[in-house]
Amino acid sequence: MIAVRFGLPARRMVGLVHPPSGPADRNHCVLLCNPFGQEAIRAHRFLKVLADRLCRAGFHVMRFDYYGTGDSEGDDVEGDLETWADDVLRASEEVRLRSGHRQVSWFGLRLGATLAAMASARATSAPSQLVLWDAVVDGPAYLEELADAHAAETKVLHGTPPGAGKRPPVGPDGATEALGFPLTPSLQSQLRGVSVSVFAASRASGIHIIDGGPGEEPVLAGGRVGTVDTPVTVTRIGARISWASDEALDTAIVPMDALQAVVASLSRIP
Amino acid sequence: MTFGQNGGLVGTLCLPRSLPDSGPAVGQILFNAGILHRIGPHRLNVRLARRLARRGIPSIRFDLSGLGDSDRAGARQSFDEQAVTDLRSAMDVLGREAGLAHFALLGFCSGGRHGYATAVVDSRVAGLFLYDTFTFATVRSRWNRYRLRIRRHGLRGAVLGWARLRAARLLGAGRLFGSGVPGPLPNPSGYVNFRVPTKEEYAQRIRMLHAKGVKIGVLFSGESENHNYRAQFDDAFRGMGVVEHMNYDYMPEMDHTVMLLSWQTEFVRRIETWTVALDEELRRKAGVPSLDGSSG
Repeated sequence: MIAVRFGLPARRMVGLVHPPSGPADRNHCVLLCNPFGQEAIRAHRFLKVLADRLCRAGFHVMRFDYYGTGDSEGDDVEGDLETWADDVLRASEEVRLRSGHRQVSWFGLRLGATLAAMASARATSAPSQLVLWDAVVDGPAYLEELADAHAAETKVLHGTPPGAGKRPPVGPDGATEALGFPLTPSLQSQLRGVSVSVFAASRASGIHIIDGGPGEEPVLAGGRVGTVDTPVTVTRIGARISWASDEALDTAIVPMDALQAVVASLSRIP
Repeated sequence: MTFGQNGGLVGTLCLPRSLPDSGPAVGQILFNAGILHRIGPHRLNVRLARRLARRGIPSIRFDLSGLGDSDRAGARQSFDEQAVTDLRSAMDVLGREAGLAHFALLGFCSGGRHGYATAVVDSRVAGLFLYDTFTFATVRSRWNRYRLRIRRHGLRGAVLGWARLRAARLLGAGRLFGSGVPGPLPNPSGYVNFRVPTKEEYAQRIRMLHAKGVKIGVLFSGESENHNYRAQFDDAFRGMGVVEHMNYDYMPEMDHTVMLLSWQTEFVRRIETWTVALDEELRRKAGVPSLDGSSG
């Protein structure tokens, strides 16, 4: 694993490159796209294990932090969907240059899946495969989910009676927070615009959806993803995971069925 | 960067843009809170590192072996022994990169016990900050805890919880971290068989570190059921020479993971202030100017 810095001088990011470690080299890169905020903290171990599995399977893998997140430069309030989608494109270019391989696929989890879909629509060269797990498809619902999770945590943390959890405070300019991370007015505004149409505009040679929702059909399935001729496949896994939770100090979430589904979908690429 | 045995540890250096001719006096070592990776809960370690760099103080934030991005170490050492080895490796690296001989360790929650163990065996540790680490019960804290449990879970839930805990103890299961009573810890990251120090052991350790010149900071959030009022340390260690040798504080409204942004700002400010004060103290002892340019 090699730590790298990349990006524009005013927008430096940190990435971790995992070269192939197995006997085979597939001549193919995979870029992993983080979720947002607390969900990214909870997903960190999963993405590390996924990167290890993929590089053992012969892929050249890169994880990275969007500008203003994780180890990358920038303050927490400096990120939004538009610029993070551009970060995906820069990271994709970086892993291609470093590996010397032309083919690259992207995996995105939660908001990372949304950003990957957004980025694919503006990419000069579309990714080979888009693998999307529990994508954020409905922006307004996602904001509600974050606010509810925040309220639930304050209820647990401060010992308030049932139903008395506090939603995050909202500043005069509309700025608020969720589970320890700021939600700027511009980020909220862009999130409100996220809908299934983001995914309908995504471009890739193939799209694979991993869905953990019980019961109903995956939101993204049914031909609403990618261009008309884009082959879309779906894997249903056990149960939906609560990524938006502050309970992270002693819990690592590495669901094996999701791990296997991602590796299997990418391993099918010729 | 990668460092440590076989380059298995992953860390991020955060150095000031320019260092004074005399060099910084202390560097901050930041590491995992529980199993969270090196950026800390809600990216606190990143914000703290950058604030410290602006004050001229270098830092490294890194993942202990087997946590975050760092590789697992070989099986030669237990998780706790390995953590001490890793912390010493981090001091080696930061010392080399920034020309430092003294370090402060920030132990967040269960991370505190690794700092507590390292401070004894490595004379380069000049400061140890323990956040929500090791609680010591008093009569009043037990009473407060029962009241809190009833408020949180209702009388029936509190009684059932108490019964479950008693049953678990009778069956030999471990106690939760920092309960103030010696016992093994259940923890998914390998934190097993760690014995929480007794009050006497803790007091002796604090006095010993103080005698070595180690500056000690202790802070508790308001979330712990076991540490639940401001004077608890005074009551627990009365006449034992502990509280007078540390900067102790209790923030009853703050949650354990410092979730709210307003508390994050305050938490970072407190650690920054404590580290800068340590830096100035070391400078005074060495007779070199402070980082803000004033002498002495």
